[in-house]
Amino acid sequence: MKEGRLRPPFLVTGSVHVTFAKLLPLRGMHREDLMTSYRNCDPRPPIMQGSPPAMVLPKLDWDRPPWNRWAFQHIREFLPTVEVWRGHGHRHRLERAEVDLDDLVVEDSEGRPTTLAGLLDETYADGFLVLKDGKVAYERYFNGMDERTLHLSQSMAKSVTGAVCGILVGRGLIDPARLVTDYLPDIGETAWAGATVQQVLDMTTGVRFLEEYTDRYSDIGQVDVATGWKPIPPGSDPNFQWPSHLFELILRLKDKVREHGAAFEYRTIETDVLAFIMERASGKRLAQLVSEELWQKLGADESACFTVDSAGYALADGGFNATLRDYGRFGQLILDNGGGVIPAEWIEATRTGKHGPNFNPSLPEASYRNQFWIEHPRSRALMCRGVFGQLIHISWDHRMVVVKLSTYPDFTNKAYSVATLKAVHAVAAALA
Amino acid sequence: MAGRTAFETRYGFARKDVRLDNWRLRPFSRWSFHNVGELVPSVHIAAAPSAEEQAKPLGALLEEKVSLAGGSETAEAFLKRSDTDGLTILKGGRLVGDWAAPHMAFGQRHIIFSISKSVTAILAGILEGEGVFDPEAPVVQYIPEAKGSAYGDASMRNVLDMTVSLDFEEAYLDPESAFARYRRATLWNPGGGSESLAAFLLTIQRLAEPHGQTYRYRSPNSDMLGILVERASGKRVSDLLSEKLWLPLGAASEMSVTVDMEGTARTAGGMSMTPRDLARIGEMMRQGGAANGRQIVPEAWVRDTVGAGGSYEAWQRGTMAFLFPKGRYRNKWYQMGAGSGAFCGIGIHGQWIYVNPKTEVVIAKMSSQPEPVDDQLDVHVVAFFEALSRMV
Repeated sequence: MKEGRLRPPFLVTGSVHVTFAKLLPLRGMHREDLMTSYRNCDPRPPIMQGSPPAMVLPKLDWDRPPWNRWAFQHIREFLPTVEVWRGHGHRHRLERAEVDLDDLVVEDSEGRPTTLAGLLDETYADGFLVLKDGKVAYERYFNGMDERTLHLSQSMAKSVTGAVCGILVGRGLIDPARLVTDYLPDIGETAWAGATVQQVLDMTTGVRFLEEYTDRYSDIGQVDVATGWKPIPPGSDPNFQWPSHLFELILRLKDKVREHGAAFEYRTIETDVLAFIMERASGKRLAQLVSEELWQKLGADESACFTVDSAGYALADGGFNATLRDYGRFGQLILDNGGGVIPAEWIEATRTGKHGPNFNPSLPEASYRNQFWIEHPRSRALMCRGVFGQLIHISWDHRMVVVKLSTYPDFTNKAYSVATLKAVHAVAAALA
Repeated sequence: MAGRTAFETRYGFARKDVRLDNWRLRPFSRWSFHNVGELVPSVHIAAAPSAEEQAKPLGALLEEKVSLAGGSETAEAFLKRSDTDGLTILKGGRLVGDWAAPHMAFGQRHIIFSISKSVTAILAGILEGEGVFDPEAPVVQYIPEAKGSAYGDASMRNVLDMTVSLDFEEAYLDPESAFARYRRATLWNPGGGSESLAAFLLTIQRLAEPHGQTYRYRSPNSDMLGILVERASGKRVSDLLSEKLWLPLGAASEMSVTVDMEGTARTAGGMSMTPRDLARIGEMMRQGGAANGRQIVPEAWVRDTVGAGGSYEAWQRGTMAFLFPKGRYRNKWYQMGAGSGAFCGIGIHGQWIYVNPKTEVVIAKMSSQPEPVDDQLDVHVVAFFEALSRMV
């Protein structure tokens, strides 16, 4: 994951009726702090509250602070979404063996001692769940979230998609050794020509995809428009041909920066290519696949959803929304080596990656395989990660799954992510 | 590798062919009417977690002949001819059975279009019972900024009974017409998101005729009603629906409502729910506002809405008198004017909740008829309901 992507923290748009600062008691805080975001211990600003709402979500900046604190729990209310149906089956009851970890001593983002509750507040947690031996050990909700709220998980969607791909591979519908173009002949003119499905799964194709966040015309800037997440930025070059949906963008990516398979480079678009392969190979839409292969089998509490683009494509790279507990059930399924739903050999292969030094700023000893992060070559713990502080941590050493859903003020925050991982290990030690 | 996708096999077209500019047209509506959230942002109202419902076949009833104006056909043949997607029948509060078209699974939500108006009016009735919504008050008491618009001198009663003297016509071809702006503001058509629904509504002007004279069916009134219940209660429509209707009613499934750029619910037509849950609303109305062992909306309000209230003269001056010659319209519900005391809610493209107090029958019918309004078919549907209510 790239660090950075800073923009002006708070863009007041014409649709905001009342400015944020007027609505909040200042309580000795700097105006800039208030304009950036709010923590769970602060008063909640009335984003989309009231009639008409005092603070209207800006279409260009809904994922920025403070708007993301409301938006990530209300995606369906401003974007079109497709349901991932939970089915008619009964809800798998999670047993509880609770331990109050609020006062567990952990490190804050500057390395000073704090409590777990303090760290969750510092790092803008919306929900935090610990499953130990499959039982709920600790579960907390903040910022208006509850056990039925669907929360955007950003790039954790990649791992959900990858897990379903493992099921399709196990069924013989997809062969990771085959060429991408065997499944998607219509992208033969793109830079994916000659790449294998496994390279897409591991993000090691040589396809050039620029995640230059400050350039609206960069590939990642075009993703925002193609997915329907954002409108075309006002003041854009009227002659620029924006992709009208995501597959159109994929068809435009024709440059290679290196040989396929030569190196890992995290590029969000690879997961979308994977999802199109899965849809083509199965004849089913991604939302139907995730429903039939995972959500109906997990005993999920609630139907989940994906955002969809104008062609109805569900955004596999980051548009998935589910409840805290259902993310926990998904993590537990992985921990149970697939639980008979995902092939155990797929999980084993996923835990086996090429670890290198300085793999990622937050994860120097990590690796990436089959759309999951591997924390460390020894523990081989798996992680699903998403920008703005989304995490599922799956530890075989401690038979523990930790889910954290957050809304950081920035896309990434290395200090928050490192502190969160340290806290996960502190929780593991406390529950050992 | 599959040639035809599962979606194409089921619906006969590809998902990517359905767009915001064609979703209400055939053949796409056979899919989009029960998947509105894929096209328009929607707020979801959860049901209390409960046991899953199983479909109950209608059995031999489907083979029974019904006599309609054009002749005799089986019940199932008529359901198909009238493009039914889902149907539920209750009698005496008990389930008679369900019917679903092959392209719609039992338990899916389906848009109910203007029956949303009838549901929103129930919220107004509940708030009236709580003393926070006065149906005889002027609109400006709740929305002071309505001054200068058609609503500036209208009453809540005019809004509830569609007797606002509103200068608003459905001009389909002019992109700058009020109607085109309305459709964009609701986010139901492309190009929306720069003008909110509330802001748009307050730009509509009035006709010379005084308010209260003529039944004039104009959807903006019912979107206005949604904003009025919000202003009166201080709560958003989605929260009101959840707290005051959906959970107390014992709805079995989630419902949803499309929302605009400000999260304002499309109370004139944006609700989706299962046929079973719509039937529950009909049954609650049949029971004088009681359901699930509790009084949800005051009985006096229900009696006024489906029995005594409304103006026969205003209805006669309107354009729908052909359908219910002795009918009346009150609080967004239609009194059909038949001896049975039957009443109903109606939405375009064939959405119906029919309640017959005499036979104790409730029928929820959801459809994807090609035409928004089909007067001839409506007459047949009413005759079909009357026949069914005698047969079950």
